[in-house]
Amino acid sequence: MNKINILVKLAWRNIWRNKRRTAITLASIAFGLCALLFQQSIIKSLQNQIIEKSTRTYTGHLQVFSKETTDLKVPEARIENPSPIYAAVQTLPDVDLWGPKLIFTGLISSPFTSKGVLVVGIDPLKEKELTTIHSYIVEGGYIEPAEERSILIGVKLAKEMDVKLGEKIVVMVQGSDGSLSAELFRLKGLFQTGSPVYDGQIVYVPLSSAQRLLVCGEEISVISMHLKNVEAIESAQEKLAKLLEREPVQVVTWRESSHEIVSIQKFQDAILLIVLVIIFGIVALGIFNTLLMSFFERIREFGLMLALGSKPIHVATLILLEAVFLGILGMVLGNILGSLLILYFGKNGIPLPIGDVVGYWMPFDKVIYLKFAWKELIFSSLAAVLTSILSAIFPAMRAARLQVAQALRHY
Amino acid sequence: MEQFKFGKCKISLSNVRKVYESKGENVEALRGLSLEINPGEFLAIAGPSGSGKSTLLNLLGGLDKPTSGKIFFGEKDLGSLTNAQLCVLRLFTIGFIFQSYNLLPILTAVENVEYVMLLQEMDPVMRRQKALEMLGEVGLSSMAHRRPLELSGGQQQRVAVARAIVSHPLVVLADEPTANLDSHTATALLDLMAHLNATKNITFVFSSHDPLVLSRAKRIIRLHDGQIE
Repeated sequence: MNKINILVKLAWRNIWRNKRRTAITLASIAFGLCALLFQQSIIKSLQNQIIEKSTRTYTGHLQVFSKETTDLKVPEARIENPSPIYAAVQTLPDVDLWGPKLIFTGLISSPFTSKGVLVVGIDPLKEKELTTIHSYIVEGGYIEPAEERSILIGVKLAKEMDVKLGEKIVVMVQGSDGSLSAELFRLKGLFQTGSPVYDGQIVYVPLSSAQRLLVCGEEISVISMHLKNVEAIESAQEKLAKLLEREPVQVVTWRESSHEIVSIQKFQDAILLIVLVIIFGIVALGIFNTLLMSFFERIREFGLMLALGSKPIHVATLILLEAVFLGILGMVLGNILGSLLILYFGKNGIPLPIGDVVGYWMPFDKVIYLKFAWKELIFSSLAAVLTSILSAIFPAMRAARLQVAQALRHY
Repeated sequence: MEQFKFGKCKISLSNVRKVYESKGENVEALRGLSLEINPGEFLAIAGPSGSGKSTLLNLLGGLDKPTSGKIFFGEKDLGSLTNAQLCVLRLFTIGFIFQSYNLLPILTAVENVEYVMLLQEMDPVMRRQKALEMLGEVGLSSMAHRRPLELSGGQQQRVAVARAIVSHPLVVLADEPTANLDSHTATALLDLMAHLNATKNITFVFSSHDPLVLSRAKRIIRLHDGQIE
């Protein structure tokens, strides 16, 4: 313990012998880490925002589909008897909110034109809690429970159809019995999410009206759920699947139904990893250079330590401890700088053009508000210290292998 | 920690050769040297630069290994010891004083003196007390908490002496200990070493070509071209 104490003391004092060089090394670690934390925060905040928007506007965290459904976006099969599923969902403590939907393609007509759309039949009360679609209403209002003939459409679609609030819209579909079915609705509200897909191609009607239109009785396409703790999604999926094992249904997570988001996430994570390797590669070279220069300057001193009875492992440990100190100090500085940036852009937001890209498919804010990516922050911080230690291995080994007499002659 | 029990042993060199390779050529620094050093000696190794004085001290201190020949500490052949065992030998039996001070620059005077005792795993309180006492003996009590750069050359060399003898080694090896000192400081240092030799019976072996140093030695071995004259 005493030896470690003195080595710690020596290492700490050694790194401050050449303050300028240490400052430059610390700056390289700190700026590298700061850049990485900032980038990780942008990517993770973006991913979280995409996931949040996706699950809160459409999919929810967990969904129950008919076993025969293959297209999870526009389910072609329906759950014929949803009552046991409603009951099971209500008994599952992990579920916070839930709601059924009936989804199908149809034709809507105004006095002026017709257009193919995706019709989503919703339980207005449950959907209001489950998703945020009501919050995008810019004109008119949301569908009330008793309003059987209200319809919500996007501003873009309304413009294309040339319809205004309160005007009539006819929805036509082919019913499940093969007949052509039509219902008259009145435009109750216009929503504007910013997503051309949502605003131009999706309409919301009450679930009961949708079922009547499709002549499908109580059938639904999907039950979406919002969980209390999304981290426990796999366990909730397992529990629900067990509860419903006798029903002809499948329980899927948002990852399975929104695999394109998962693909984006994986691609971004891979880029993050490459950037991490590049940044820490550069940082490692800087630290290696510092430690090697410091080693060559102190060969005589290491020789003295060995001559006085220090073991080679002590000398090597000294260099490694110096690297640990550099790594830890750099990590702390990098975290402070990175955190300040994340806090600033967490409050003020950062406009990103990717919002336009993602926003085509789903409602998405064009400003990203940064949040701490804790897991990545811890990983990168440890990587900074580890990089520093790895950079010290070669100088440490050189020091441990010094010939004492030769080292003492070194100037 | 493994320790060696050497007692007050004799140091013997038998036909020791040391060859260095320099720029592709072999340079023979010691040519078949045989020598015996008795416990408690105050021995000077004299000779011009390049005569092999420092090489001999390095071999005696286990800092280097001979190309051929044997060096014995009592019954123990240094050539048979591993590097780790040589570390322990140096730690417990040999004190070093080098030509150019060789203090650890980031430690204070008292910490430098403590360093060897710390490696010996001595109790921290006792260690500090002994280091301060030893600094007192070399007249540096008031400089105990200064770093080497804040000390004069003579003061630094006295700290090195204090460090060399604080843990009562059997032998102190001093390589040109007065080379960088003025005559007044050199005399004081020699007085100190002679005093320690007389009172603590520590064997002193120092290399020098300084007449002042040689005049104080009880025995002088003169080297020339790696051989005893």
